[in-house]
Order: sequence, then C-alpha cells, then structure tokens
Amino acid sequence: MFEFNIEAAIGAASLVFALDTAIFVMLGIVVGITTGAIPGLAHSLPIALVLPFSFFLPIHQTMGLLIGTYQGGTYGGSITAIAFGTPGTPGAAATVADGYALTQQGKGKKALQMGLYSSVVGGLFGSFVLIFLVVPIGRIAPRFGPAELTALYFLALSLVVVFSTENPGKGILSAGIGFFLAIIGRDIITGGLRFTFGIRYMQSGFPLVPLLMGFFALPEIIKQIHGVITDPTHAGEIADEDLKLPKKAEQGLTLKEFFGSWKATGMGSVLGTFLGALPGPGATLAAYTSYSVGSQFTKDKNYGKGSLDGVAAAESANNATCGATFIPMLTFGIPGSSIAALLMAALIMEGVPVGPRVVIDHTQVVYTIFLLMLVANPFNLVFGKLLIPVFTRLTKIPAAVLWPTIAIVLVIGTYAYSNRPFDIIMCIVAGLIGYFYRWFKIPDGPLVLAFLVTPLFEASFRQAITISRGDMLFFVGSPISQILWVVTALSIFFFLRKKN
Amino acid sequence: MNVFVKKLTQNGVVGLLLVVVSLGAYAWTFTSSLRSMELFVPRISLWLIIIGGVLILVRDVVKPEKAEQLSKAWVLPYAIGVSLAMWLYGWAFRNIGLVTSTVLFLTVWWVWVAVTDARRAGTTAGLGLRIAKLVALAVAIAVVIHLLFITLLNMHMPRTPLP
Repeated sequence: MFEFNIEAAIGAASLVFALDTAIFVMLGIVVGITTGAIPGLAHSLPIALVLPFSFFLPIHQTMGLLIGTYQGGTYGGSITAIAFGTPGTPGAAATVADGYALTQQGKGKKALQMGLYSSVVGGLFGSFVLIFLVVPIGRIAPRFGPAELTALYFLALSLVVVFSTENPGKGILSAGIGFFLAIIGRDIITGGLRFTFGIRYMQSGFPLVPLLMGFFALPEIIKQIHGVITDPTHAGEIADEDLKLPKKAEQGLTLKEFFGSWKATGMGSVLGTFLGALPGPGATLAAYTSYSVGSQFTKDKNYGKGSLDGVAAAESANNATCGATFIPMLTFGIPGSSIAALLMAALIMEGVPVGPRVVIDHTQVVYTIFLLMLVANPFNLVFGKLLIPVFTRLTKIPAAVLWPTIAIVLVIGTYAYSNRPFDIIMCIVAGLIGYFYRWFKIPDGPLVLAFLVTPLFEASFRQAITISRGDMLFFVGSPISQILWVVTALSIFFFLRKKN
Repeated sequence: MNVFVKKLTQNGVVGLLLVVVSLGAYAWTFTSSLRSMELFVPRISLWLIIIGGVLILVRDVVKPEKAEQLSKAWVLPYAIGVSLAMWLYGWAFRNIGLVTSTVLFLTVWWVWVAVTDARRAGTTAGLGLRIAKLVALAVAIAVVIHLLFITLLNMHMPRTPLP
C-alpha cells in the first residue's frame, strides 16, 4: 500500500534544500515568532496577511513562508507568556501558570529554554507522525465514494462544532454562516446564480483570500484602534518593571532538567498530535488537555506554581498540533484548524486542489510540505534561542504605530491578490462579520471549516443523490459510511451528555 | 410576551433576531427561481442558523447565568470608521499612488493621535519633534511597501500618476 515515490522525493528535496526556500522559511520563522510575541497579533493574523504572497511566489517558497510563520508563531506566543504572564497566542495560555511563576522565581531563562526545546520536540514529533500517516491514509482516501465523503465531511463539521465552544448554539450558528457564505455564486452543477444579489463580482463566489484576511485581521485592528483612541494608556507598551527579561548571568536549562521532563514532553507531543489531527480542538485545547493530564502524573510538587514539567507539557502539545493539523487536510481536504484552513487556501491558490486525491496527484507537493515541516523546526530552535531578548522587546512597539501599519498592509495585500477593488470591500465585509463573531463570542473555526468544506460536501452529496437516484439509504450503504455516521452520532451524544 | 422579552439578555435577543431573519430568508427561498437541488445547501445553512439561534435563545431562557458576558463598549462607530478609512485608503492608492497615499494615511493618523495624546497630557513640549519622527517613519514604511509590492511582487497599479 505504501509506495514511496523516489522521483517526487528528490524533486521535493531539491526545492526545499535550496537557498531561496531556506530564506523564506527563516523569514517565516522570524515573522512568526515576532508576531507571536506581540499579544493580540495572534498567528492566524500574520498568516492571513502573508497569504496574498502565494499569488506571486512559487509553491515551495509560499509554503516555506507560511509553515515558518505557523511554527514560529506557535512558539512565539510562549515568550510573552513566560516573560510577563501575557500569552502572545491563545495556545500559549496554558504556559502562563508555570512559565510566569518560574520567571518570578528568577528562573525565566530555564522556562524560556524549556518552552523552546519542548516546542521543537513536539513540532518534530507531530511532523514525523504527519509523514508516516498521510501517505498511507492518502492512498486509501480515493477509495471513499461520494456517500462516504458526505459522511466524513459531516463528521468533520460536527467535530468542529462540538469542540469549538461551550455554547453549542453558537458553534452551529458559526457553521451555518460559513455554509451560507460558501454557497454564494454559481451552482457547481447547473451554473445557476445563488445569492449574488445582482453583483457581477459575486458570481465566482465570496472571494477566499479577502474573506480570510478580513475575518482574522480586521476585528483585531478595530479593537486595537478603539483602544488607542479611548484609552491613552493603551500604547501597546509594557512597562519595564513588568518585563522580567532573563539576566545573562542567570543559569540556563541543564540537560538533566530537560530530560527530567521527558514524560511531560512525550505525553504533550502525543496528545498534541492526536488532538491536532482532529478537526476542531486546535492548539489551545491540546495545550490545556496536556497540561491538565500532566498534573495527574507529575512528581513535581510545584506543578502549577512554577514547574518545568508544566511548561514542557503545554508547549510540546501546542507545537505538536502544527504537523498533525495537516493530516486531515492533506488526506481529505478537511482543515483541522483555522490556521490549517489558511494554509489550505494557499495551496488552493497555488493550483493544488486539496482533497482525497492530493497525495496521488500532487505527491511532490505533499513531500515538499513534509520536508518544510521538518526543516522549520531547527530554524525555530536557532532563531528562538538567539533572538529571545529581541522578541521580548517587541512588545514595546506602540499600538498607535503598529495597527494602522497592519491596516494598510491588509488593504494592499487584499488588493494585490487579484487587483480588484471589490476585494477590498469584501475584506471589509468579512472583517465586520469577524467583529460580530468576536463581540458575540462565536467560535471562528466552524465558519472557516464550513466555508472550505461546503463545496466538497455539496459536490459529494449531489453526486451521491444522482448515483442513487434520490435514495437516501445510499448514504448508509457501505461499512465505512456506517462507521462514520455512528462516530458522528456518538460524538454529538457524548458532547450533549457532558454539557448536561 | 413582554415579560419573556424583558428576561432575555443580549445573547437571547441576538439569537431571536437571527432566528427571525433566517426564517424570513428560508421562506424567501420558496419564491426564488432556483431549483430545489440548487437550494438544498442554502436551506441547510439557513436551518443551521435557525437551530443555532434557537439554542442560544433556549439557553438564555433556561440557563441565563451561563450566558456569555458581551462587551457593552460602543464600538460600532469605530468599526464603521476603520472600515471607511480602509476603503478610502484603497481608493487613494489606486488614484494618487501607493507611496503618496500611504504617507498621507499614516501621517494624518499618527499626527492626530499624537496631538490628542498631547492634549490629554496637557503639554505640547516635544510634540514637533515627535511629529517629525512619525512623518519620517511614515515615509520609510511607504518606501518599504512600495519596494515589496510594486518592485518585488510587481503588483499592477492602474491610474497611478504619482509613485
């Protein structure tokens, strides 16, 4: 079943181990850690901002830039979490308790280094699992017929709703809005126009890149600019006394201490990979789950009050999701998280139709992604270690300077994607939807997943209906689809039971 | 009915509004000229929004203590203002040039914030120097953006009399 395509592997290696790709990976890592270290500039935002570059760059450079930004951003959030108790990204929130406590105890350098090393271990573990799982699953995937795919997409949507929020109504609402935005434009079979409201530009559907850029970036811009105008102290600066940078003389992490936390790191890597591979949970849930599971078996009495085990458990799980989130995406075209959705959008724009046949039809692209995932980790280690003092100072950039600059990059980036002024309007519309989501506390994952999966879901569903001539039992005809429907029903049942 | 509505928090009210609007849209699909198959997924989406809205509403009535606290800050004018400013900037860089519009946009914004801050602090000492630095920064950012998007990425710029 597992057929290693040596030609594709050599082709991928020649692309990845080239200077230009290395530069883009490094650039991505620096951008990722930098933005991850600035609270509010969560790493879905910088990925959304660099997305239009995929229109201009070849695929290996684009993916190098995006994967570097992703991995760097996932680690970068822990820097501020450890240095002054403010997580740069939601995924780093679980690191705060132990990381910041260690900093206050004068062990900030140890905590930062543990965060970095466990992130790299988690990232590498997730990448290796990705490599060993995607090709075998990807070779089975084309055997899924329309009925099985419909069941699978339904399962993915159910999982993302189940995992995304405490309030199931808001999760379902989010998926419904994503569905609705996705069906705007021409019908995939008949070509009939749906909900275009007479606007010619809408005939090709709600544009993907402006949607993602506006949805992720604009709400934060509005929030920060509101802060700048109404609150004079909101300058994005953190007072020097709050910023506990590790002193040069401070002792770093010893090998004994690093290997002493192997259980926490290993458990975090495994849990992060497992949860990352499911659509929905994402880095935040993985880090918290790992952190709470870690508390059950650690021998460190300081767990929760300044423990290296706590930092290792949260950070390894956080970064292990990076590789794992590609597994459902590269096998069935289901992005595991909002960030995976952004990366999937980049692949689509590069002309790679992400779906069940991607491993077979675009083997070299898949191998290129594998290698980039592996290559990004050492770069993360080097830049993370060298530039920690620089990154911690980035938090002092005044919000009044930073956010208008991001706003103009957002507008130009949106326009650069296809040189259509209409895209800027759609980006703003998506941003206002995103702002409503943020205000009403609706999870963004179901919208993005539904937006990307709906065309696949609709195509499979209508194909199945055509084949079966309207017989709905066709959807539960095969053992695979039966299993998938049962898993869907069980996940919804356990979710409802837990809530009650 | 009045008592019921009074009991609702903002969550419930928004849930109710979504249900009403989606039901209206659902009813409207029956007047549409599209075929039933073309309307299948749109109707699913509307049903999902209706179910979501109903669940939010029910939760708000049954377990109001679990309703998420929504921000009371009046941000809508800022959302509209930022959106308008972004649209205006988009119009400007296509008509007066990328560098010119970027410098103008950033300078106007930063000078306004600097002056507002100085008024709040009650002192204008050093304001001139600060503004000069901000203008220099705006020029630098505009140049970087021009190099990145126009020179490096060769972005098409129609009707651009100035660089």
